[in-house]
Parts: sequence; structure tokens; C-alpha cells
Amino acid sequence: MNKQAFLNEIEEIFELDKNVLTGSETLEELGEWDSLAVMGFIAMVDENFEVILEAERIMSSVTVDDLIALVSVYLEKEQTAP
Amino acid sequence: MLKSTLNNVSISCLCASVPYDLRHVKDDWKGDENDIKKIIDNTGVQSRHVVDESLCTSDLCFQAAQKIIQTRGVALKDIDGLIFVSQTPDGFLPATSCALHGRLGLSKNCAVFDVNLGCSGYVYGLWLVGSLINSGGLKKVLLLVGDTITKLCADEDRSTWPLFGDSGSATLLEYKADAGPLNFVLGTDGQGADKLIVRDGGFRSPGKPFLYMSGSDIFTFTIREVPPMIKEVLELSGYNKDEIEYYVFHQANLFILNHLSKKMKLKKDKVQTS
Repeated sequence: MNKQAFLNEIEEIFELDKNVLTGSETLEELGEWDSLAVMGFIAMVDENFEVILEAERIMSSVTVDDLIALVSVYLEKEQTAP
Repeated sequence: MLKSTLNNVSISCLCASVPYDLRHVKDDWKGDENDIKKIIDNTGVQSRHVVDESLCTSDLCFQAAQKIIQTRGVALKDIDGLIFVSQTPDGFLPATSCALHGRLGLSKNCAVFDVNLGCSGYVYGLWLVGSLINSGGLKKVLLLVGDTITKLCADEDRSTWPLFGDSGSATLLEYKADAGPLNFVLGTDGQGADKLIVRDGGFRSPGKPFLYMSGSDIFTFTIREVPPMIKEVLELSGYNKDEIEYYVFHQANLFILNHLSKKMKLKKDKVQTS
């Protein structure tokens, strides 16, 4: 999964239109970053990368880029794969 | 994980009771309609059975136990054990199990005590009673498990109110020489003690008790711990996952159940939802 596909997944969690996120947006301005959204994010990351992120790390994220940073290792791996 | 196999233990009868009052999520939630719909769609819970102030967990368990005794024609003098597993007992003392022993009119030749466990309570209760019977100590035991947890839910706390209901159960376990094995996989993670907690109302912090739950931490814990435990109990039992007819998780939240099913590649119709 590349960064754009990951952004599209986040758009789905926030019920936003496709391809509107750039990464610099704060989570607060996108809607309610509540436990339902956090659980949706944890599930999405687990489904795509088979990694279970600690809720605390997600809750302390401020921007979309912060969320990307949590999984950047996995995104980069896929991008550099032959 | 701790693995345990118990022989000579039969689960003879199970009865559950719920209060009449059925409350819809929208009855309790003051948010707008979209908000309510979002919660219901996500959790799959539309309504729950909720006790009024007059009913306690022990009352629900008492009804369930009476039903078993009457319908199965169990002689009271033959019941030599009663274990009550709950986190909403009648009070600090006496042990609620002892009060139930009196109400049910059981014999004095009876081992009786309380166990303070919640989500894991039924499985731990089965294992504990099974162990007492397996060791040859007891022959016919009532396991009473339940909670009236809505009494601890703070008004409009959306992490608890839309999910929790009240119920009591009674299970009769007996010594039976040819009973098949009961297989258990058990564990504990005390590091997460503050993620699901009633902080006040005891002796360390007196005050009004209410239930705090970090839903996202519970979710993380569930999807991290449960799949390997299922794998272990299947290995211990000698079954493959498709041979199991039903998977019954102690989890009301549909979103979590769906994710667990997908993660473990279980067929949806085998996973019970409430």
C-alpha cells in the first residue's frame, strides 16, 4: 500500500470524499476523532499491515501526517519493493 | 498461556435470566439521530436489558438457579458447592454467594464463595468449578455468574452505555465418570488494569463508583490476545477451526466481532452475535 492508498483509507474512516487529504490536516478539523474512529483506524492498519498499533500512540496523533508516521515503515517497504 | 484439561466434569444444565426492562440505545442517548445511528451501526447493539434500582445481580442469578433446581428436580441436599462470579455483588460482606446459599435453602455441607471477575468470569468460573469437581472434592455445583453493570455506567458515557446490559446465569456442573474433556486456555494481563476500571467506591478511593472503559485499548487487547488463544485451545482440543460449530465470544460489539472473524478467517455464520 502506498501513501495515497493509505490516505484514501483514512478518508473512508472519516467519511470524506476521495482524494481530499494531503496529510497536513489536523484530525480535529476532519471530524470526531473518537474511540469509534480510532478503532476503525486500528482495524484498518491491522488488516493491511498485520500490525496492531497501541491506542495511546494513535490518540496522541494530531495531524494526518502523524498517523502516516505510525506506519511509514510499512509504506516505504512496499514502495521500494521490486 | 496456561493450559488445562479437565475430565469427569459434566455441564448438565444452563439457565440465564434478564430483567424485563428493554431499553433502546436512543432512549438513553441524547445525541442527534445520526450519532445514534452511527453507534448502532458500529456496535450492532440496538437495545439492552437493564435492571431498575430494586434488582441486584444476585436476584437474577437466584431466579436462574431456582429454575434449574425445579426443572431438573435437583435435591437441595445434593448440591455441595456454590460459586458466585460477579463484579456487582450485593455489598462488601457477607459474600453474596453465602446470602444466595441461604435464599436457595442449600445444605450446610456446601463449599461457598465469591469470585471477583467480569469479562473472563464465566470461563474462569467453569474452569474453577471443573477443577473442584475434577479433584474429587465436589460432586454437584452451582456456578452463578452475572452482572448488573449498568448500575456503574455514567449517564451519557458512550463508551459504556450503548454496549452494556444486565443478566444473571446459573450453570449446574456435576461429576460424571464418562464426561468428555473440558479444555481451557487462560491468561492474565494486569498491566492493563487501568483500561477497564471502577476506580472509586472501594477502600483505596472512596466515592461514587462508575465504570471507565478505554474502548480502543480493549479493542487492541482483544485482537492481539484472542486469536492466538483460540489457536491454542483448538490445538489442545485436537480440532481444526472449521470443525467448530459456533464461536461464542464475550463481546457485544459487532465491529470487534467482525474484525476478529476476518482476522481468524472464521465463517460469519459461526460467530454468534447478540
